Amino acid sequence: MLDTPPPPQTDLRPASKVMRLSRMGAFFPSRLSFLPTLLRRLGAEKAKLTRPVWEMNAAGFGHAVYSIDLGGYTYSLIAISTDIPPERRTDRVIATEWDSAYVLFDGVPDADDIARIVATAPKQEAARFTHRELVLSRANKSVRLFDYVVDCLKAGQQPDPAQVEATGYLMRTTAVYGNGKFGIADRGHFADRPGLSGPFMAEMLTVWMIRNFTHDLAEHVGGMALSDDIKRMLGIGNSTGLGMAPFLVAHPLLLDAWMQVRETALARVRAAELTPDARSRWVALAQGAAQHLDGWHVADEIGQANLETMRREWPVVMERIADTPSVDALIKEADVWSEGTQERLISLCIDAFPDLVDGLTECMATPFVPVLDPTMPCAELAALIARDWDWACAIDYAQPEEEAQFWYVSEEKLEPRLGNRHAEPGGELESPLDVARRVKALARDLPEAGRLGSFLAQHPQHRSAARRVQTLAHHPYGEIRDNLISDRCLPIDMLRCKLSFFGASRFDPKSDRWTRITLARGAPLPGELHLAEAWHPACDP
Amino acid sequence: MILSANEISALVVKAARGAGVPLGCAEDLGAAAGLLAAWGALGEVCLALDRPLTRLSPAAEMKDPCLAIMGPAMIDAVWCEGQPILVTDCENSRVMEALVQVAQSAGARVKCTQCDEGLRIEPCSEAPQVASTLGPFEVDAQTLDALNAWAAKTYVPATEASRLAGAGAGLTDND
Repeated sequence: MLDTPPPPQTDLRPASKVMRLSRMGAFFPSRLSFLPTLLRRLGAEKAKLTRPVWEMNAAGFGHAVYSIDLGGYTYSLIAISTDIPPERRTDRVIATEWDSAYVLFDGVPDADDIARIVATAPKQEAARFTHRELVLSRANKSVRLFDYVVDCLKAGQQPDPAQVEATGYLMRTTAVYGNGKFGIADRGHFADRPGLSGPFMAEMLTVWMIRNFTHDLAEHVGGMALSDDIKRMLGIGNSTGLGMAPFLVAHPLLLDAWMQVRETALARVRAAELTPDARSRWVALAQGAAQHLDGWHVADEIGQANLETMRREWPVVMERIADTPSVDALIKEADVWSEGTQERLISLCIDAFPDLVDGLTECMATPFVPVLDPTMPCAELAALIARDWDWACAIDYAQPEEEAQFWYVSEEKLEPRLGNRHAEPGGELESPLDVARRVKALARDLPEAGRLGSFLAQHPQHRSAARRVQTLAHHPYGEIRDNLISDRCLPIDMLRCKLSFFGASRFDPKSDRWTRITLARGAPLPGELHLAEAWHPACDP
Repeated sequence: MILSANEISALVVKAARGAGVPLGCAEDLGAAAGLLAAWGALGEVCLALDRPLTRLSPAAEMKDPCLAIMGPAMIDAVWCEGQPILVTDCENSRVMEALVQVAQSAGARVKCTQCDEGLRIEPCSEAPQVASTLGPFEVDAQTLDALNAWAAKTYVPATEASRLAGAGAGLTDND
């Protein structure tokens, strides 16, 4: 191993530009995303997926166990398929029954483990689990596609690729729980294990294994094998709602780590020589992206309008990729295009230079949490607010539009929701996602002299905001620099940002607060993990 | 019931907020919750949320006397000023110890010791040994009920309108 200096890089794009909701909501996945990173690791380790248990009746109900080794540990997916009445099928968190339930188990389950999990996993949040369970999930069948695919196989035929393409998955997960939820293992139990140390790696492994289960299930019920081409087109769908949104606010250091990795990757690529090989890769990726754009249609009006804009702009982008003297030159030009086109281009730039960027994925996780230094002089904190939070302090929160929304936790199912403050009750119980407003309130009360600790002793209501100000000073990408309670806040932007880091594609927004996506579409099948190096989720066919 | 460390921490933050503790203090208490659970002392959190501290030396100038709010403030004061504080009526010594350990992990050179007069929070020079708080932990039913009752004060009752609009998806959203 050689001690090589890091590659040259340009300046990172400023957080003031990157950490805006509309831009974050335009992000695309890249090879730095968690699922491609996981699959490359599995490929490098020549991991083999086995299926030691398959206890399914002819109709496809029962349970199965899959196992795989990663980083020297064995992990098993226990999948349970349940016969539920169609009218009971819903993706909402308030659902109580699902077509299938899953647990990622730490190790190889014995018969007692399997029996316990088969009994409890279908109950999901209504049951309790042990620290041998790392991830808990559930999925519903695609009503459009599952029966169609099975019927084709029963007739001895492969399904029509166009039909498969239109949906892209046989099942979609409606929740993938990790990190201690409902008694499953705290992340700390496995955070130092090779392969699972990155953020959401256990969840990504679970989703990839679920995908394989859905293929096997359709083949079992249909009585015939699906072609590999069809199986590759079938990822795992997901219905993502507000439940995911508060995460980005609750974990500023993690958000900063993800963004710093992405922006550093871009900065390295911008400083790199654009060799013929690199340009060739870049052109091929752009062509893949063009095909992807052609086949991408959504019902949401704003989403569809954004796609139309990207479709108009993309031919010019492709021309410029072919003749720009450098990546940096094109990135500088890109401000004339929409944020969607800009961020799509950035994902492709990152993907075109794997040797420069892949090592950065080691920096996606962080063991640190925000801390408060009470010894800081109040004047210093005030200076930080003036430097980093001008955007927050410029807002008049007394204006109705600036405090139009409130985040809260519903009593019914303990799920995050977003309410209209001026039309619904509950605003007095709002969840603390009004970070910008809190920091402005802190700035208003902060004295010119004295130390922060003394001030907070008399004003404990500002403690959290003070910690966030100190955190942002050293982690500039740790805050969404928008008012999350204004009428302009679109939670879908928060969802899409996080999902892009997962490696999700085919964003299909259904409203401003939930979206369908697909994970692992086009991803290597279990026998093809050696091809993971070449998989680009932003360009899936 | 067996709970993960993350569940315990999240519940304590909600419970503290439900008890009217400011967010930042609730976050500190949540960070201390894993240690308390490891020590079998999670029940003291409930006392820390609503039992006032009345006898402090030097006399407290803080506004609100519950330990969940005063604890971080006292640690800050010792950290900043280098002068010890003595708490003579503290029934929640383990909460204070846990809060001190959380502060130590943030860089505070502060320690908490039991003495004849009560609980002394004072500066220290040695680097702290911060304990691991990996779950799961057994939590007794009485403590769990109390914490859940506090946390429930932060939940908003659902209405038909909020079910339809608040989370985004309609009630039937099959594809």
